[in-house]
Amino acid sequence: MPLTELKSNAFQTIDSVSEKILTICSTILDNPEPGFREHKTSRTVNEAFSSMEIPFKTGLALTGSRAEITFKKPGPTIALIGELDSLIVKDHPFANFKTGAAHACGHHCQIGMMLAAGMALNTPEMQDKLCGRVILMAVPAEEYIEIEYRDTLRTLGKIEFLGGKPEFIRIGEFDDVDISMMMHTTSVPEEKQICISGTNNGTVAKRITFIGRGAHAGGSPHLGINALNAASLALSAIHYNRETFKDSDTIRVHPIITKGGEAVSAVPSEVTMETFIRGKTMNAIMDANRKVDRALRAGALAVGAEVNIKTIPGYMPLNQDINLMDIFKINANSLVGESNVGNRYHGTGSTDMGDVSQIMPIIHPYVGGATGIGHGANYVIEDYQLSVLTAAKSLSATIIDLLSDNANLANQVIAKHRPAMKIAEYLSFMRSLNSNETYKD
Amino acid sequence: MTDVSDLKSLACQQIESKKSELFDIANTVLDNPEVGFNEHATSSLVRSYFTKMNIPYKNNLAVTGIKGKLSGLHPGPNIGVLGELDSLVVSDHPNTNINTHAAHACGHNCQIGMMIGVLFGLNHPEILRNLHGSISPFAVPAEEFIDIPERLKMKENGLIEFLSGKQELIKLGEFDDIDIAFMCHTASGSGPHVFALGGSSTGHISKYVQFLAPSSTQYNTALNSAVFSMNAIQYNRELFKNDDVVRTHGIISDTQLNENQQTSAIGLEWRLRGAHLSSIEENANIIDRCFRAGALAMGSKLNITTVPGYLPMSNDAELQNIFSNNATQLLGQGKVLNISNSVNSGGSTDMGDLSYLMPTCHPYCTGATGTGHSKDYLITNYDTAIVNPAKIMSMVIIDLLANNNALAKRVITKFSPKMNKKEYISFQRGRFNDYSSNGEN
Repeated sequence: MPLTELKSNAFQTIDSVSEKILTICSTILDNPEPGFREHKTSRTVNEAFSSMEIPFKTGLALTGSRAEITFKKPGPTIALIGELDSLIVKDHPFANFKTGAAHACGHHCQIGMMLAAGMALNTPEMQDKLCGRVILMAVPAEEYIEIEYRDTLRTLGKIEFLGGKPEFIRIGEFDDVDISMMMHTTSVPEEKQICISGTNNGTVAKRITFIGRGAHAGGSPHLGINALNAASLALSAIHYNRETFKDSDTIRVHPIITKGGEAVSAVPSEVTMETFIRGKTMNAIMDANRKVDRALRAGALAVGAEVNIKTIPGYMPLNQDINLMDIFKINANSLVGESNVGNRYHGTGSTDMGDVSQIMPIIHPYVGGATGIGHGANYVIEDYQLSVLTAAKSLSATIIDLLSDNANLANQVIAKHRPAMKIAEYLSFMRSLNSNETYKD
Repeated sequence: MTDVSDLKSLACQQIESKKSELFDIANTVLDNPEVGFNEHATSSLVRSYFTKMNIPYKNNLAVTGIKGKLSGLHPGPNIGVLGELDSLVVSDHPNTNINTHAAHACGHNCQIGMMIGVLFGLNHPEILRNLHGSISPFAVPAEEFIDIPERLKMKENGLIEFLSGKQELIKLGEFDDIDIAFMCHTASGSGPHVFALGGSSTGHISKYVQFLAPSSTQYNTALNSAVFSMNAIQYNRELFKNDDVVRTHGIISDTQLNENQQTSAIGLEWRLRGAHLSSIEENANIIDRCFRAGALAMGSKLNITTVPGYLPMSNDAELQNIFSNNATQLLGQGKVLNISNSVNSGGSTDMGDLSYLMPTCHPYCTGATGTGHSKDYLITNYDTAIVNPAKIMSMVIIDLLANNNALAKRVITKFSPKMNKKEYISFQRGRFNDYSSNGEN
C-alpha cells in the first residue's frame, strides 16, 4: 500500500469520526477549566481513550493523561500533544459564569485534533504499516496564569513547576518520547490556513512584594513608607530600561499590580505585583531579568521601602526542528494547497512546548479557523473543519511519513537533531532559576 | 557730647547730599555683573572708594572680598556692614552680561551702594568723635550658591575651601574682629511698607550629582538615571513636614555627549532647604536615596559630591529692635513692617551662617519690582533701595557706638552664639562628602 493511500485512509477515518470529535470539542468549550483544574476535561479525554480501547494513564501532573498506540514493529516514539486548559476571560461568550474560565486560545480544538489523529492511526492497517509508538498526551496548564494558585500547589508539593509540560518532563512522561508535535489555532489572517512557525520567546515570572509602613495619609504621611510609590517608581524604572533591550531579543516585560493599597486614607504598606520577562533566548531573558530586578530594587530604595522578589521559572524559548517541519510542510501543502500555507518566523508569546523543544525535536505549527484576538473576549473558532479536522489530518499524515518505511524519516530526524539540553540538565537549569530575595537599603 | 539724634541727622544729610554718587555706584555694578568669586571689577570699584576716602582696607579676601575700617575716636566694638558683591546668572535679564549671562537679578548692586552710603554718612569728624568703636565696611563675595561644579574646581585648586563668600571668610578669620554684623537686602513691593525686619530663612545642603554610563557601549542610561531620580524625589515630597519648610530643587547643569551625540554623562546641581538643621540632614538622606535609586535603576555609575550649604538665619532680637526703632524714626510707623520670626522666607543666605556666631540682622528694603532671581527683578526706586537702608544702618551704628557703646555692649552681652567659630568650621567641614557607586548595588 503506497503512502498516499495510507494517508487517505487516515483522512477517511478522521472524516468518519468528525461528528464525535466536534462534539468532544464542543463539550470542552462549554466546560472551560484553567490549568491544573481540568478535571472534567480530563474525564472527557479519558472516555475517548477508553472508547478507542487503548491503554492510558491519568492523574499525571494532577489532571494530565497519556495513552499509547503501539504498532507491531518496534521503533521511535512520537508524542501527539493536546493542551487541556482554558484561559480566564470573563467577558468571553463561552466563559463559565462562575469562574470566568473560557477557551479564548482554542485549546479545546487541540484535544479534538489529538484524538482524531489518534483514531486515524489506531487502525489495523496502520498496525501493519507503521512501527514504534504514538503517545496521545493530554497535558494540563499551558497558559501561565493563576500564579498565586499554582505557587500554592507548589508549596503543597503537588507540583514543582508551574506549567503542565515542565511537570510532565519532571515526572518522566517524556523520558521515552523521541519526537513531539502539536498544533495551535490562530486567528491571524497572514498565517493563512496552516502556518509554518518558527521560534517563540521564553519567559520567567516574578511575584513582587513592596513592604512599606502604614500611616495616616493625611495626618502623618511623613511617618509612613509608601509601598505604592515604590511600586510606581519601579514600574517607571522598568520602562526607562526598555531602550537598552535589543530588538533582536524581542524582550517583553508586562507587569501588573495585584494589590495596590488597602484604603485611600492610609499610606499603602504593602503592594504586590506580578510580571513576566520574555525574550528570544535564555541569555536575553536573564539580562532583562537582571535589569528588572535592579529596577525593582531602585523603586524600593527611592522611598526607603523593602522589596521581596520571587523569581519563578517560566517557559523556555521555543525552537522547532527544521527537518521535522519540512515533513509537516509537505503534508500541509498537499492538504490545503501551498498558497494557503503561511509563515511566521518568531512569536513573542511563550509556550511550554518551548521546554520540550529544548530536549527533543518538536514542531508547533498553527492552524487557522479562529477569529478575534488571541486571549481576547472575541477569540472564537469559526471553522472547526479547518481548526480540528484538517489539523488532525496534517498531524496524522506527518506521523505516517515518520513511522512508515521502518521509521526511516523519524530516525533521520532524531539522528540529525542536537538537543540543547538533556532532561537532567533541563531540570537543574529550571531549578536554578528559582530565587527568593529580599532587598532593603 | 552731641546729641545722638543730631548725629543721626548729620549722617542722613551727608547721605542725602551724595545720593547721586551712590546711584552711580549701583548702576556701575548693575552694568558689570560678576558671579561669585569672580567679582574683580566690582571689588576694584569698592577699593577705589575706600582709597578715595582714606579708608584702610584688606583686599583679595576669599578671592575678591574687601574689608575696610572706619574707626571712631574711642576704642570699642567693631561693626560689620556687609555688601554682597556677586550677581546671579539670568540670561534673559535686561541687564545681563552678553558673554557670561551674569545679571544682578537679586539687587546686590544696591548693597554695594548702601555700604558706601554708610561710609558717606559716618565719615565725618563730628560723628567719629562720638563713636566708641569702629565700622568695617565689608564687601563679600559669592552669596548666591550657584556654579557648584566651577566652585568645586576652585576648591580643588586651593583657591577656596567653602563654596560661599561668608563661609570662606569666617574660616579665614576675617570675621574674628567683627562683633556685630548686618546688611540690608532689596525686596520687591510689600504694600505701603518700604522697610521690613524679621522672619527667618532656610538652611540648605547642596549636591553635585553625576551619572555616568557604565561603559561606552551603553548610553542614555545616564540621562534616564537623572530623570528617574528627579521623579523619585517628587514621590518623596509627602514625607516633608510643612513646618520644616522643605524646598528641594535643582538643575541639569551639564551633559556630556559621546561621538554619536549620545549622553554619556550628566551632571545635576541639587539643593535641599529646610528650616531646621536636623530636617535638612534627614531629608538630604532621602534625596541621596533617590539618586542612588536612579543609578541602580539603570546600572549607571554615580558620584554625589555633597557640599555644606547655608545655616538657617535668625535675626538678633536686640539688634533688630534697634533697626526697627531707627527705621520707624526715619520713615514713620506705617512704612515699617515687622515680620514674625516664625515666618520663613524659604530662601537661604550665608548671613544665616554668620547668625550662628554673632549678633546679626538682615532686614529688607523695597525698591525692586518683579520676582527675585528672574528677568523681571529690577530696581526701580534707588531712594528706598539705597538711600533708606544707608541712612538706617548709619543710625543703627550711631545708636550702637555712641554713649560709650552701651547698646553695642548690651547686644553683644545678650547674644549667645549657637556655635563658636571652631565648632562652626568643623560642623561645615563634616558636611562635605563624596559618594560613589557603580550602580549595581
